[in-house]
Amino acid sequence: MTNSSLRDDFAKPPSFEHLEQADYLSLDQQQLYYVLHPTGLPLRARVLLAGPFASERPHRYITWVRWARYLASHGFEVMRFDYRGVGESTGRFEDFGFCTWSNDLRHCADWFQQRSPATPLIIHGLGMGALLGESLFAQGIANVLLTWLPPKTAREMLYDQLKIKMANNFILPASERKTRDQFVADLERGETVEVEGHNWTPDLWSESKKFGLAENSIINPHVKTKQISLDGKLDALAVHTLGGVGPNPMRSAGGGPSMRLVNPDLTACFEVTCGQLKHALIALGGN
Amino acid sequence: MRKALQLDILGYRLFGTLHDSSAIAQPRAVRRTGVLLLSFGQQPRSWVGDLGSSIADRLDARGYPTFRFDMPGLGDSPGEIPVYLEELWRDILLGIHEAPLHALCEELAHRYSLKGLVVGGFCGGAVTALYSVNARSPLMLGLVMLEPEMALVRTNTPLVRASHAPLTVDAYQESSELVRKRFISLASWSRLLSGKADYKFWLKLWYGLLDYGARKLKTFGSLKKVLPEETNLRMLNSWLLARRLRIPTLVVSVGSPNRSKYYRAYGLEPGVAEIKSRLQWVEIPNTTHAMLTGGAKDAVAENIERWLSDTFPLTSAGIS
Repeated sequence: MTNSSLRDDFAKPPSFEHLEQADYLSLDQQQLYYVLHPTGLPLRARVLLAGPFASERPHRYITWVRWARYLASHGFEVMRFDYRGVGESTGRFEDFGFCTWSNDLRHCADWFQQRSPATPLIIHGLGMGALLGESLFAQGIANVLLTWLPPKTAREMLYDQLKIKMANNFILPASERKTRDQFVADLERGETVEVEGHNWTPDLWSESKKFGLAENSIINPHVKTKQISLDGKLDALAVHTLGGVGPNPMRSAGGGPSMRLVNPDLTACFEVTCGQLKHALIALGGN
Repeated sequence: MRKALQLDILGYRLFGTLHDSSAIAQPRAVRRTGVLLLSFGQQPRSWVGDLGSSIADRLDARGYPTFRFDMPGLGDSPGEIPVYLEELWRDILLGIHEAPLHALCEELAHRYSLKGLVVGGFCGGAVTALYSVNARSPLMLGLVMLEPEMALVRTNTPLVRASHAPLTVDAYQESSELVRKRFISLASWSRLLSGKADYKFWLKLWYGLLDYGARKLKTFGSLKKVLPEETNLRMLNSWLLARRLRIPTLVVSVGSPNRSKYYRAYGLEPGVAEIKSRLQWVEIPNTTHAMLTGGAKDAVAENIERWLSDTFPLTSAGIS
């Protein structure tokens, strides 16, 4: 079964995949990887996608890219990027943290907006990207902020990600099995903890205390730009795919052995979110 | 230094990354040996835990231009893929990426004036890498396979119909481990004695054991090695071809009793080098299939670096 077989072919939006371009931006002697998804339609707005935390990135990648393509086929120019020390961007993960990744997002926002400053800018964050996006939005960067599955705080997100470490260690000798709180204690003692191939440093853990929705949501009163913040509504299938949460909603009772989803048809969720963005742009006085 | 690449190959637009600090896009007079790394299954080309990009950085630092590419529909490369993971894996294991890989190798060798390529991959990517020997191209200089998958994946589609498939090697190992755990578990015994046992589990296990026994009996006395039902024969043929052609090969796998049993079930000898056919097999202990925990991320890269510099040594001018 392929995704295309589920879709309504005669209502298929145009594809601009052939226009996609990948390249690097320079930042503090590192290379910041980005992919640009131009649109062939009249430009509604620019959407800067702020991706999730390093250990979630590979598992959300396919859906994240498909969302970028969906937006491009509906009149939005999209930019997505990798934080320094992660994925295609250069640098060692352990040398960076939430502050540098926030700077990466700022750098990309500036570069993206320079392409035509009059066009509205939307920041869309997933997971950790939502926290970083909110921080930037509070400084008056971007006209619209859209968030998907934001954690309450960066610390809560890290604590949640430690479950991957526990799962991996389960098959290792018993001496290496620890609880999440024991790993946290290690970090607080100044030790580095490896989680899914990335070395978490004590600095990353202590920095995570500063990043949270409540603190960042105070919008700078001196900012004159009209801004709208949207809480993206996700259905069960999208939450399962983008957050790894809950059982597979496509599994039918009494069906064959369950298979895992890699590329489910999220058109319904994409349509709703795209509609939210269009309404926000109208409210801002755009198209 | 990395460079983002987009190449049009056989009607696909493939996105990739080149690690080449010494000469990004600079034509060279002497042809070098390049390395091409493929991701496993559905993962983007940096792999889980950025293992792929970390290996590529280290090989680049050693002087080997290293490429990583997303196959069609994966990572940044456009293309259609199935809805279900198991169907995607099955397609990959049966060689859906073989043709784009051949064309990609030729394009890279031509565009970057390479002597040829050492092709590597992880899990399903290792199987795709292995299929590159089928073209018998002189550009294919060596193979690096991390945790190669020997079995076809169960799906609900007719190709390998799960409901009629016999117990696989993986499933058998999982079941026997579960039996061992249940045997020493107080809770399991109390469930059995109170009539709350998981009868479905026991029935499935007995069916699997009977099926396994019946197949063993059927081939009793035969000299021919009996392969598990789910064996990817196409992949095994490519493996034998690579051995016959004496293509320098490095296999890296998890060094655990279960994983060793898994490979032995397919007639292979994990951890044992075959000097005659130029095969090296390294086992990394105390880690998982993703090869990240327990220091495996560094160990994998070190082993590949060492094997590459022994097999394709650089000259004093930095040419391999």
